[in-house]
Amino acid sequence: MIEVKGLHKSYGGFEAVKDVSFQVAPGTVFGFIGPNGAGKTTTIRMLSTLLEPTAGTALVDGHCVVNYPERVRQIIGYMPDRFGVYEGIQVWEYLEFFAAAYKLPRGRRRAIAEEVMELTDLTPLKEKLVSELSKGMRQRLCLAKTLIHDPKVLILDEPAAGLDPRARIEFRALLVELSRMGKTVFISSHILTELSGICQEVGIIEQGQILACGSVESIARALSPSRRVRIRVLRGAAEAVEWLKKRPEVLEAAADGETVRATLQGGEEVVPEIVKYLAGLDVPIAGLEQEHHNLETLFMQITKGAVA
Amino acid sequence: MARTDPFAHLNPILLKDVRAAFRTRRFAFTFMTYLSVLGAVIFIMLFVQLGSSKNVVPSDVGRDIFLTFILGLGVVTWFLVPAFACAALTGEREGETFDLLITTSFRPWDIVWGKLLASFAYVFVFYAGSLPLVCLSFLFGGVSPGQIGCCYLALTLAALFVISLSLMFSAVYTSSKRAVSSTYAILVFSGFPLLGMIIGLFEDRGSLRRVLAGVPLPVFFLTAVLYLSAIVLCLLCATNALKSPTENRSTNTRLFLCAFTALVTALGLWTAWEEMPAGKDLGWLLGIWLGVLGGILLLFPLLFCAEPPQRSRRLQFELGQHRPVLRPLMRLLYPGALSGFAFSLIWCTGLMALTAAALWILIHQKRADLPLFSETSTVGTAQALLVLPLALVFLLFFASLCLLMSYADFRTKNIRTVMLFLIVLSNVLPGVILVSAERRRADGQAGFNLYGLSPSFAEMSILMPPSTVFKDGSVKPLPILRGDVDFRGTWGCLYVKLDSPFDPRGVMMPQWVVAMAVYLSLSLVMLVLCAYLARRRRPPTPPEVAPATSET
Repeated sequence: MIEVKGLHKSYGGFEAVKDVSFQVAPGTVFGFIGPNGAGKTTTIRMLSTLLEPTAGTALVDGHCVVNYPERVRQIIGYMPDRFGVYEGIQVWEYLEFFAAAYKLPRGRRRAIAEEVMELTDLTPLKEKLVSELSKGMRQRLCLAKTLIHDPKVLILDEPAAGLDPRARIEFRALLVELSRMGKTVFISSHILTELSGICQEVGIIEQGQILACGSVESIARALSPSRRVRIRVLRGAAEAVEWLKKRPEVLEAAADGETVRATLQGGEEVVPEIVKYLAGLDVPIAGLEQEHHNLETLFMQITKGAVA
Repeated sequence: MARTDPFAHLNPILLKDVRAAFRTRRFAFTFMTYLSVLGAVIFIMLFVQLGSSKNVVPSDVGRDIFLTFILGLGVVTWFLVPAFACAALTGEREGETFDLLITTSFRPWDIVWGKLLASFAYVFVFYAGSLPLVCLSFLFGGVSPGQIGCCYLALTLAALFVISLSLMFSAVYTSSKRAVSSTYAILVFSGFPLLGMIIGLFEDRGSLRRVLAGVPLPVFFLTAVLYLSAIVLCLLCATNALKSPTENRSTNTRLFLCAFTALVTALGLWTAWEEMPAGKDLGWLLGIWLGVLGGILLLFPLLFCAEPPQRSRRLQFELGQHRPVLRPLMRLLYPGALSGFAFSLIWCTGLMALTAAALWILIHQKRADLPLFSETSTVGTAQALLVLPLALVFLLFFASLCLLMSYADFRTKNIRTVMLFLIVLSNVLPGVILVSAERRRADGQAGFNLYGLSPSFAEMSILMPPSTVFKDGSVKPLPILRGDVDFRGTWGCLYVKLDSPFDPRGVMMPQWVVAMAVYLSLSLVMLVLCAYLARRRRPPTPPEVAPATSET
């Protein structure tokens, strides 16, 4: 759905984005992660047709953002990191204005606005003036505006910045719902807890360069090929550790009460082999759990803490 | 079933802005204050007039009330409208809603049109709201329906002009303060024609009619064309300023200015055709016409030669989409400093050449001279035509300067500011020198003329010779100069003796030849520098043309 290849953006001698390439498949929630000043917003503004790349190509649903910006604008719903609202009008008027701005048929604008308000839980506030809304509600309103023309791709730049914890959790739930509806979501943030759990894929950017891109697991695998497992046994944990240490694919093993912690090298296929091996040695296995890689750990491992 | 918005058929930007503006306390306060002040002024005036004398003429009272009312509306139009119209687009930027607006399906023209309508709606409320007060004048009479209609028409035109100008600055600048101050700076100088129009309507109708009867018909058209063109040009500039710098912000303005200059030229030639055989005094008319044309032509380098030298990737892609036959023409019309330079010179030279040829043919066909400033003068024909190449040389100079700054990587806005300053300075400063350093020379010898280096003064020196030879052989100063500034005696000037039989080239040569030589040499130096800078520039990264879309 989104294909970026060799994207560059420079301002005079300063290169804000350098050779950025990634792909986002349809229906995916893609997290674009990076510290402040990494080049996230510049990349997003190029994808949203607000900036022209100095070099490279960016396609949204097959349309080049440079050559066909009007078509791209029909496909994307863009929510900037900082935005204002028209304060003197009501919530439904605000949404109908954007419905008209996207040239939706006159007779259907009110119905579409109501549908979107329903989705974003704004229906009780429809008669309220936009100026009377809280920060969280304004954020919802902006998301509702972004959805008004039923875009295939949502480009959200730091959408939950400045929200309180409840509003943030509700916002996340809304994004999960949108993902279920089949929307491709491109979301940037430097708050990792905001993205963990909802992103199928991530791209990590620092100093204008993509450092890693793909699913969290694939990135973790690329970073360290080992995997950690916790095996709960009913008895004989110490013996199990001894036997495990004899296996070439086991890098280290240790007992912690009735739990054996082991670090394995190799792919997914190693895990069942180990289970089979322990079962063959008559070790009663009560359960096995793979330790998943944490987005925060990955981010800290990949980035160096520098800004562009 | 959801209800439909009863106003859904209105322009969405108009609807949104009107709703947002009219719900504010500020609007209510402004409107109330305006009505209170206008009402108070009219009532005080009424009291004073009715109480001052027993012999009050009711029609005078009615006329005074109406004039006060119109003046009030004029003040609102001229001073209040920019205050909110300038914030129309800068407000979107300052309120961080601009990106949301520009990423919708609205094109820049949709936004400008919507903002124009919204601002006009605001003005309309002020006009309509004060109608009950103006009705007071009908109680006394003295105002004809024609005068009321003309006043409203003039005010509507003025409002459109003010709004367009405000929108242009609002689109160009990012802060409302700068937009407002720039608009007021222009309006202070351009308010007099409107005031003149309104006062002229109430002058003694007989004398006004006599004055107007002497004005050739094309002059009326020219005035209308100038007003409407100013409005259209401002709106086009506003639209272009809203586009991203990588989009085509030039072709529409280029085409408009071509049509506009062609129309002005046609109107000028029409005047000459109509008026020449009658042997009327055409000096002032030709002077105004050539002045207007020269001024408009200076817009070409200002607008088009200041553009960045390199076209964006999007523009290169768009150019490639045109048919091969049309590409050379489109290259000339598409943005780019070099294309702007070529376009300006080609169009202006062509227009000047056509004008010169047409005038020449007219003179020979009609066997008439172009009398300048004196009905008995035999000079003028050649002089009027001499202005044209001189104007072209000035155009070349300013265009080369813009091009040089563009190749030196100056920002477009800065180039335009510098150029505007230079053009104004070069036209005004020599006049100041001329007046302040006037020194009469008794010998009247030939010499060097510094003020000839100013575009306006060099042209004027051709059109207005210090003296002229009349058909009876006598040499006299021109009537227009008599008692004012004697050109022979100005600072640094030397002239040939004027007691010999008149030779216009002899008198004029030092001024315009020096001006042309200096400006031409400077232009050539700048063009050489441009070529050097162009060679030094890094070769551009070849544009990566993305594959065509899957859907067409």
